Amino acid sequence: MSLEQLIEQCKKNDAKAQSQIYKLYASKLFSLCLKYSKNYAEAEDNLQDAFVTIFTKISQYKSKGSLEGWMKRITINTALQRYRSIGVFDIVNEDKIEDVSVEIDEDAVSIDFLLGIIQELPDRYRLVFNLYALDDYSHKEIAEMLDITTGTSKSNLARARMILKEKIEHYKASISSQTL
Amino acid sequence: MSDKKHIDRLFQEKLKDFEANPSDAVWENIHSSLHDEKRKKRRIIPIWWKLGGAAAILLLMLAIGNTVFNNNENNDSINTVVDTENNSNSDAFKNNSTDKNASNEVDFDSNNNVSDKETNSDETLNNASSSGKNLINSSVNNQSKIASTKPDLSSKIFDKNNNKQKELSKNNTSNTLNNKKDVVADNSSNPFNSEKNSKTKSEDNIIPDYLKSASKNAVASSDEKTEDSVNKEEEIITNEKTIEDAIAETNTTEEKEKEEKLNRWNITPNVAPVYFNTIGKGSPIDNQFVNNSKKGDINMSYGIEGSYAINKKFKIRAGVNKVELGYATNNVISYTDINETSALGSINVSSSNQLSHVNINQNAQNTTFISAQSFNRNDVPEILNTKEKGSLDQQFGFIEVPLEIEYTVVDKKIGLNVIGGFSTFFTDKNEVYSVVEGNRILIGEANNLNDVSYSANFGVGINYNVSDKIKLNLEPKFKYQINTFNDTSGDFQPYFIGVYTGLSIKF
Repeated sequence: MSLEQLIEQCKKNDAKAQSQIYKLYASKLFSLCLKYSKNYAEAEDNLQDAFVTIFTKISQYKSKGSLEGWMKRITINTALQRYRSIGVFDIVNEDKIEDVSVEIDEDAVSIDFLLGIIQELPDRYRLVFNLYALDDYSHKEIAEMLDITTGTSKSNLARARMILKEKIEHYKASISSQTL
Repeated sequence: MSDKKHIDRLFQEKLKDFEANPSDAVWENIHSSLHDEKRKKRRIIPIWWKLGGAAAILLLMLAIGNTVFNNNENNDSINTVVDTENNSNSDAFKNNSTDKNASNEVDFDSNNNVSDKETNSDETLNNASSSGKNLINSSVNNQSKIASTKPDLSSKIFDKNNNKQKELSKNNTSNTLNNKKDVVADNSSNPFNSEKNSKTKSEDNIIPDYLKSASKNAVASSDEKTEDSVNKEEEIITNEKTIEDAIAETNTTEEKEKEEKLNRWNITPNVAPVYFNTIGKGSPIDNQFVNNSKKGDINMSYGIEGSYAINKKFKIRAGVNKVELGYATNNVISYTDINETSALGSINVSSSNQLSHVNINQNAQNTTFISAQSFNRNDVPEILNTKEKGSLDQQFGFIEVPLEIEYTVVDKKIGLNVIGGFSTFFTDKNEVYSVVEGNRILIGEANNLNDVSYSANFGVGINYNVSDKIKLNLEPKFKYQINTFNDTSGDFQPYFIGVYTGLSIKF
């Protein structure tokens, strides 16, 4: 069955077609969820909510962009919605810092480690870093999505970068000290 | 070796091709939340069956009670007809309920199976990793043993096992879960998995709690989330609306949903003038009055009714009403003098002072009632001609329990609907009065009035929407009574008409 046919079947709430679409995209979208979530369980929850939305609203998908892009946006929005509803974005008072270029030695750091330190970031830093650095949203778009100013978005991104860098360097140091 | 790189690039490159497999439970949850909704829609018809079944059982019980109660008296044909109908209905209902039981059992079995499997795979995991999880594992095993003896506990254990399953599947991020045991065996050779393994264990304490709350909230929140994120989605595609707009939209749609849900229930206090009469000639009192003129009284009925909207068109209504009905038999001559009785000797009137369907009380022990139409005035002794003609008034009181369906024809400011259904009547008042020259004496009670009777109802309703919450109703209803009397003289088929006015309040 072609993707178009699958989508048509999904619009009729056909369980088989839904299962096929799920199998095709679950792992991609789940990696996305993992990046935007605090932990594994939350990511699974997020994925579940995202797919329920995708299948209930698939009739609104107009085949203009790619299905994957559409599904990714829904997944990201589901993640954002989670934090919006628990009021993560209410923090107003914080010192803004300038965007500084954070550079790092590229070494063999595992994907798991990188994912782990992303998940450990404070919620908003994690979201901003994900949106800007990994999913190519502009500060303006992020500001609108998270209901913050572009300044806050930039500042959050800079802080996220610094925290990440620190953790990577600390990790490397601990590894090299172990090996020595 | 290592060159300086912007941190964003590092993450981008490393995570570019990163994919991870969620546990099977995720798909199962997605599937059930998508197709449970479907089931809810289909449930409209089963509700009918259930209600119909409940009504049938109620009817059956009443009918049995009725037959037992009236055992010493002649059961008329109507009674039997009602009985057989009820029996067949209740049979159907019983079948329904046994089916349900069967399906429940199947579900339960499958749960058990699943939990067994989980325990097994847990054991395998334990053996392979030989970590310090034996304690937990053995407690799980114990619990599943208990499960076999105490079905109540099985659901709890199933939850636990579910958690285990999640944990287990997390170990298998790069594999599908079809062959759990194989995967577990693979764990030792797969560094990625074993790393995950240790991670998952460290999260053990957090996950079960999280899952519990998640599963609780899942059903309630999924709808809202769906709405929310879809609004978000549209917004991004069109890039026309701001987030605030979308949130506002979300809120309003949620509110609308709530309103629709909340307004399913209606409560309607009502009051109605009711007019009692009969189709066909006959008398509920005695043979001799069959040809007498009779008059139905206009009385009041009042009560309260609740209704539940199944959908926009159909509502189910049930309620409790107090109904008083009155019926007067005119042209009745009553006398108490013994001399007068003897004077009647010449007339061939079957009046041994008894009215066949009335149990006479002490007030009227010596009174005789005869129909003025049963003899020619010219042939009777003078004394009877001088007697004032009176009437026999019957007063019946019932507690009415209607169960009706309302179908909306017009749903505007002024609405129109059609109502059909049936009522069960419990007799709570049964009096016969003799009325002569304005004097009203209680002479006894009808012995042919059943304690429980029924009616088939049909009506048209007109309502006026005062506000979103309040409606004024005007419902003329015709109620054809069934099984009200167990023995009447002639063809006496009672009905009553009521014009029910009420104020219905939505909530």
